[in-house]
Amino acid sequence: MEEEQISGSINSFSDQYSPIYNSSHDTNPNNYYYYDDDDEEEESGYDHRTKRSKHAPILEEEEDRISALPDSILLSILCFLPINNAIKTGVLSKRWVSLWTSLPSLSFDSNSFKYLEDFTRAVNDTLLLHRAPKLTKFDIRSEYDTDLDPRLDIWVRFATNAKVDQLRLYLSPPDPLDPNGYQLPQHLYANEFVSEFNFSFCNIKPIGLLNWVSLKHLCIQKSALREDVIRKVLVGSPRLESLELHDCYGFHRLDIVSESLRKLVIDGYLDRDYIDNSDGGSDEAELEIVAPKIHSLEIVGDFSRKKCRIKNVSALVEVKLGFYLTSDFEYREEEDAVERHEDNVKKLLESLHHVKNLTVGIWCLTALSIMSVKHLPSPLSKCKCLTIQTSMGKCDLPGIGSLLQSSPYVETLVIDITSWGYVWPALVRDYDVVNHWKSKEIYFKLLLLRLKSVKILCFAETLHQKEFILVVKFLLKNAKVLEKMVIIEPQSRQNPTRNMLRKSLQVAQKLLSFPRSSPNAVVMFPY
Amino acid sequence: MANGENQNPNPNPIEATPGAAARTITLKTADGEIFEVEEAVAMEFGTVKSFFEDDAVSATKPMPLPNVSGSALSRVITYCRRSLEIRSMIPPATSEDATAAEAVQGEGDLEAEKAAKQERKEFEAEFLKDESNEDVKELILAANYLNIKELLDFLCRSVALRIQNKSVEYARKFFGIEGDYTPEEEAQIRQEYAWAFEGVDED
Repeated sequence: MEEEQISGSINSFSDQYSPIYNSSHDTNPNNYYYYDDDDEEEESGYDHRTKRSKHAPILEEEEDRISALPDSILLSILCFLPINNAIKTGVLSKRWVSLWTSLPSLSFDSNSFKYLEDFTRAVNDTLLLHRAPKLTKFDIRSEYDTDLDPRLDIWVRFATNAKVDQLRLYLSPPDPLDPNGYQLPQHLYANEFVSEFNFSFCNIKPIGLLNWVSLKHLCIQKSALREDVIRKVLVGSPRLESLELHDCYGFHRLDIVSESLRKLVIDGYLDRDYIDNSDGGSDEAELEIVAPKIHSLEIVGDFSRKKCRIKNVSALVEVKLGFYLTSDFEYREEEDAVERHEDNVKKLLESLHHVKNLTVGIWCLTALSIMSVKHLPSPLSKCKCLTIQTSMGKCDLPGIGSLLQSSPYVETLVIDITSWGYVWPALVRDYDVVNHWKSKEIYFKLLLLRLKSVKILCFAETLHQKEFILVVKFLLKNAKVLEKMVIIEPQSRQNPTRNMLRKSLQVAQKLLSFPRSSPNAVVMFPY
Repeated sequence: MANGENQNPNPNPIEATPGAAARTITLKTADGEIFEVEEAVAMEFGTVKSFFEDDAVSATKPMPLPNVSGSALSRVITYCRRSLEIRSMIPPATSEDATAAEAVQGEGDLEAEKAAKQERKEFEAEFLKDESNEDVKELILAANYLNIKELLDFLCRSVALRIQNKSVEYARKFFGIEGDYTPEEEAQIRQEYAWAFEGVDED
C-alpha cells in the first residue's frame, strides 16, 4: 500500500520547472497526512512537523522532494558525477532507472579497470543504453593497444552520430618508443559540429579535404605531424582560436596561415631521431615559427631537439618562454647546454621585444644569468608586464638584474618563486653575484621609472633568503612610482607553526622597514 | 573587500533603469517573512525578473514567494549578493577585435579574473560548509523556483560531490527516496551494471 502511494506520487509530477507545490496536479490531500506516519521513520532528521505548520500550503512529498524536481535538475546533478556513479543511480528507484541515459556528457577512463576487456565492455554497455540525441562531451582515456582500434572506431562513430561538441581521445603509448598511434577514421576529418578536439597518440593523416568548420580548440599530443597536415588543419578550421602541440614532432616550421588563431602553445618537441632523419644538423635542428596574427604564444617543455626561431609574431601580446634543454647524455654537462643556447635565447628575446606581457621561465633566466656574468647585455624589451619564474637563488640574480635592466617600460612585475631551478652553471656558481648586482645598480636605478605594481609569489621559507631580501630592498628603494607590493604564499602547504609565523612576522617587519622612494607605496603581506 | 558585507548595495546595478540604483524590491516568503532586497540582487532571480518585466509598475505590495522559506531566501540572497560583488571585480570584457594596446589593459583584467576566481572558490567552499543535506536540498528547491541558474549549477555540483562514490543506500537516504524495486529487480539491475558498482564507500 505504502509503495503504491509513493510511486503514484513520484509519477504524478510533471517535467516543467514550475514549482511542485503550486501543483494543479495536487492529487490526494490525504497523502499529506499519510506521510505523517512515515516521518518518524525518515532518518534525515528533518523536522517535518514544525516546518509543516509554517508552510501551510501543500508540502506533500517532503521525503521525495528531490525526486520531485524536474528531470533537468536531476540530470544536472548527475552531470557532475563520474559516469559509474551516474549509472548507479539507476538502482535508486524505478523512476531513476533510465535517468542517466540522457546524460549529455560521457567520460571513460580505463584506469578504473584491471583489464582492458572489462573497460571496453563497460564502455560498450553504457553506449548501448545511452540515448541522448546530442552529446556535449565524449572522453576516452586509455592505454593504447592496436586491439582497441575497432572499438575506438565505433566509439568515435557513436560520438559523431550524436553531434558531439568536444571529443577527446587521451591515448597513451604502451611503450615510450612506440611511434604508432591510433589512426583517426577518415570521416572524422569532415565534421561540422565539433568545437574542441583533443588527440593524444593518434595518427592524423587526412586524405581528402579537411573540414572542421566549428572547431575552436585543438590540442594534439605525442603525435607525428607533417607540415602539409598542419596546413590542411589550419586551412580547414576557419574558426580555430587555439592550437596546442604537446610533445609532437615531424615538422620544422609552423606557418600559421590561419586568420582566426589567437593562441599557440608548443610544449616540447619529441625526440624521434629515426623519423626526423636529422641529427644535430644546423637547419633541421631549428623550429621556425611564423604566426603574424596570434596574440598569445607559449614555448614550454623539453626543447633539447630543436631551437625555436621566431620569424614573425607582429601581433603578439603575451609570450611565455618556459622551455628547457636537457643535456646530451654522452659527454656534455647541463651548463654547457645552457651556454650553447644562450645565443638562441638572445635571438628569441630580440624577436619578442615588442610583446607587452613577457614571462621568462627558469631555464631562460639561467641563460640570461650566464650572459650577464659574461657582460653580454640582454636585448631591450618594451614589455609592460614582466613575469619572472625563478628559484631566487644565487644563480638567478644576474639574470633578474639583466631583465630589469632591459625592461624600462615595466609597470607590473611578477616574481614567481614557486618552482625549483635545477641548473647551476659553474660559471655563475663561482661568481660573486652580490657584487655584480651592486655594481650594476646605478644602471638599474634609472630604469625603474614606471614600475607601479609588484607581486611576489613565494613560500614562507623564501622570505629569509638573502637574495630575496636583496631584490625586495632594491625594488622598494628604487621604484619611484611604486603603488603596491604584494607578497603572497600561493597555498599554504601546511598549517604554519607558531615559530614559522613568528619568523615570517619578523621578516615582514624587516621588509616593511626598508626605505621606499615612492611615498605612496603600500606593502601587503597577506599571510 | 575580502569579507562580503551583506549590507552593501551593489556598486554595479545591472540593467539599471534611471534612478534605479537605490531601489529595493520587497519579497514575502511562505512563512510570512518580509525581505527588502536591492533591485540588482533581486533581478538575479529569474522569476522576480520576469514578474517585474511583465508588470512595469513597481510593486506596492510585496511579491509573494509561496514556495520559499525565510531561511532559504536569506541564504539565497547572501549568495546572489556575494556573487554580484565578485562579478563586479572583473572589468567588462574587451571585444575580440581589441587592438594590441587595448589588450594590454587586459593584463589588469587577467589579474582581476584570477582574483575573482579565487574569491569565488573560497566563498563557495564556505557557503555550504555547515549546511546539512536537508538545507542543501531546500536551497535547490528555492533556486529552482526562483530560477537562478548560477546558484542552481553550484548547488547541483555540490550535491554531486556529496553523494559521489557513496553507496546506493546513502544516496537514497540523502534524496529521501523509497526504493521501489523488489530484491530480485534490484539484483538484476546491479548485475547489468556490475561495472558501475565496483569500488564503493560503504557509508
